[in-house]
Amino acid sequence: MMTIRESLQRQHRVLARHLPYVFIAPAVGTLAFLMLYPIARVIYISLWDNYFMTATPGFVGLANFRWILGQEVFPLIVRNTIVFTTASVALHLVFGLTLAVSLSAHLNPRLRGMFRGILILPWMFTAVVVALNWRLILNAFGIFNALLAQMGLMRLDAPLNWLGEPDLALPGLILINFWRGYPFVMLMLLAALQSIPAQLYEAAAVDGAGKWHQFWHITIPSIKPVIASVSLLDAIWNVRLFDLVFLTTGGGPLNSTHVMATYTYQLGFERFEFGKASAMAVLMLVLTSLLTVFYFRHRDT
Amino acid sequence: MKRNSICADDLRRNNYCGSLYTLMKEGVTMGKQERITCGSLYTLMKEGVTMGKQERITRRGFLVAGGAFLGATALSASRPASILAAPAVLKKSKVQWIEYITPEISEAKMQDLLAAFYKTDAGKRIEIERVPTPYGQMYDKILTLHLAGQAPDIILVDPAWGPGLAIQGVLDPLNSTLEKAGKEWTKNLIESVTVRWKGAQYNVPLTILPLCLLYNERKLEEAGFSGPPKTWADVEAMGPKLTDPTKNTYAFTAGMAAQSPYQGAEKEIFPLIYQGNDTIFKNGKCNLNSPASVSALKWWLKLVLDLKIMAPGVFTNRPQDKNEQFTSELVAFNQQSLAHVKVSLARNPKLKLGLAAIPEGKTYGSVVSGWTAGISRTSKNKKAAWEFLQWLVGPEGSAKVSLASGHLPGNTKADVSELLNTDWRVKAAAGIASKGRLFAEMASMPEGVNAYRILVEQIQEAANKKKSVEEALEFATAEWNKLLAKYA
Repeated sequence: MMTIRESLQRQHRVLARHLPYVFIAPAVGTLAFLMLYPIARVIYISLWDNYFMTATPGFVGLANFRWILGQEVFPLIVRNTIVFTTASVALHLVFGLTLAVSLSAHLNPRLRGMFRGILILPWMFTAVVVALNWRLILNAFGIFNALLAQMGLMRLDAPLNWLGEPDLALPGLILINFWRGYPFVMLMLLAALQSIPAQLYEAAAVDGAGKWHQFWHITIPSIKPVIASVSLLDAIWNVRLFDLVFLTTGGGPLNSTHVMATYTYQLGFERFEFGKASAMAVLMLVLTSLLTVFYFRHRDT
Repeated sequence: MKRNSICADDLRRNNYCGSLYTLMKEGVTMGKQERITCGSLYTLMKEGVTMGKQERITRRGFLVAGGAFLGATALSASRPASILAAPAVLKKSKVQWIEYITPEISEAKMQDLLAAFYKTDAGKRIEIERVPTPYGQMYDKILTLHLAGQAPDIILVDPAWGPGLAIQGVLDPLNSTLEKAGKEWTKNLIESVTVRWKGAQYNVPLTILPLCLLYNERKLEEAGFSGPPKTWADVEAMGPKLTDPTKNTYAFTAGMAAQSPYQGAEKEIFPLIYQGNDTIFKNGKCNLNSPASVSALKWWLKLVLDLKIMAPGVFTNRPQDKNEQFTSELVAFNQQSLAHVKVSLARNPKLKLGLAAIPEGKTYGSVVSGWTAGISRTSKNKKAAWEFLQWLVGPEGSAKVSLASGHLPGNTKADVSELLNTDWRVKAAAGIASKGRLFAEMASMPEGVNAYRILVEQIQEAANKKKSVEEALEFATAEWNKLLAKYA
């Protein structure tokens, strides 16, 4: 027979076991409402036709997905997204690493702080400001062409329209995105570089390793996990980048800069095909989820 | 001190402290100059301002009143400027108005316009809460607000968006309202920019904007021309003489960007089709594959690709980019609506801006647009919304909007003699409008923005030699007919 003391102890144990769930319930509820509900809603809408447009939308199952995959423009959009993401991440990484290594050299701390402050500026501008300025810079009458002409690389009477020619628009867009995105990578890598113990370099120098060997055999292996994490994060952000593309080229000319995010917008807000737009958004979700899984796996290892 | 606002002196005189919360519940708002915070309320109490017998202030009551004040202060700070500027009036009907007029005429002129309305009988009962939005963002914002169930009561509408907004249930049919207004009143409204869809009318015009040829008089004088081109032949003759790429100078600016709102086709190609004595639609079907349309596009591409008299950037230029090239005097001509005259002169006051009708082909024909407005289908205050709209498009409102904007009025009874006598360009535009054959056919095309997108993409395909002109226009015609069939 259970004594009163044992009964109280049991009640206490039950309470102790369940109390943490009570505490986290509001946060979990809020998170579910703010994150899971919209995602579930988008998936639900992707299974319907004429959603929002009529009072009686029709259930079409996976037809919206089949429709998107069958579109002539779809392979081009996927290719643009991959090229844009890969080139942006690669440029961010190369330039970010170069700058991070330069800034981590033995510099006057004030000078280093000043350079770091200047170099981080592009990251602090909004997409609207970046897009407007770069549209002017890459304009046929812009500074970029004037510079090329000064260097004798282009004739002034045959100016290049960087964002207006189908062959040049995507490289132009990548250039803008590169300029805007490198500071994040630079900062992350700079932090990683500063955490490498100086003794490793001293020991390598004693063994006769030059600067290149030190960089290749000490620096890179030490910051490899950060490089991988930053690259994956950057890839996730670039796959779903919308604002900069929409504001600079809108996906044109001739769909040459159309990426998955701008196509989703076009389906929804220009064609009013909200079911198909949601299906496209779900496809993007799948792609970014895969990258996110890679990211977490990598982080955990 | 007005009864409908509160300031610290008012409280001192009237011992209002305890009834603040009650007053705020009644809709009394604070004066603009002297907002009261929780702190000042406490100061007043220390000064000996007491409470009414019925409303002893307790610690809880003090906190509630203070909280209410803070909330009201935050709310009034986030309200549109128009409300802050206007005296607060008890129990006025609120009407929300989303518009792109303010960014174009200035806040001060919009305030004058509203002040004129507030002097009328209807204005004493109705308070206008504006949602000023740049034109480029307007269409998306209307749709987003509608889908969120928050569409404003009155919506400023580009006629090309009209059928799409009608189909989606954003706009309410105005037929019965217009019938009640009477034929004597409605006959004065200019019809050319009216949006009709399946027999119902969805908008009324505020102003009319004919397409014009804006030109740089200085550039023409320097090249030895006495005036702008009057025919297509003149364009071909004058264009090369006004173009010198080594000096960054070109005859025309043009825009055919594949970016919302995709206006290039309307401004560049449609007039050429009308001048070929044809139209965009015929017998309820798209007519873009007609010989006149094919000739129009071929001639335009000749100017761009062969004669090279258009400034670079044709396939990325949006309306603002065209204006930029024109106002920075890189080009001599800019084919734009009358609305862009004021914008151009504001950007470059030294610009010697001339205004003429666009060059003629076989005959004259051009497009017309304008500021028009409709009422939201989900509006909870349609009666008040119509009262304001009726004033706005009536003789008085229409004249005031025209004077502020430099547009032609949408009401034939509007007295704009002052404007016509003082601004020769508006007078010239009135002459252009009176030439006739002005079309706004997209006011009856569903999914207007999507239709424009299809056409612009095909024009770009033709320009890049990926398709012949005939193939591109045939494709666009088929797609447009699909859209028409979808909503038939």
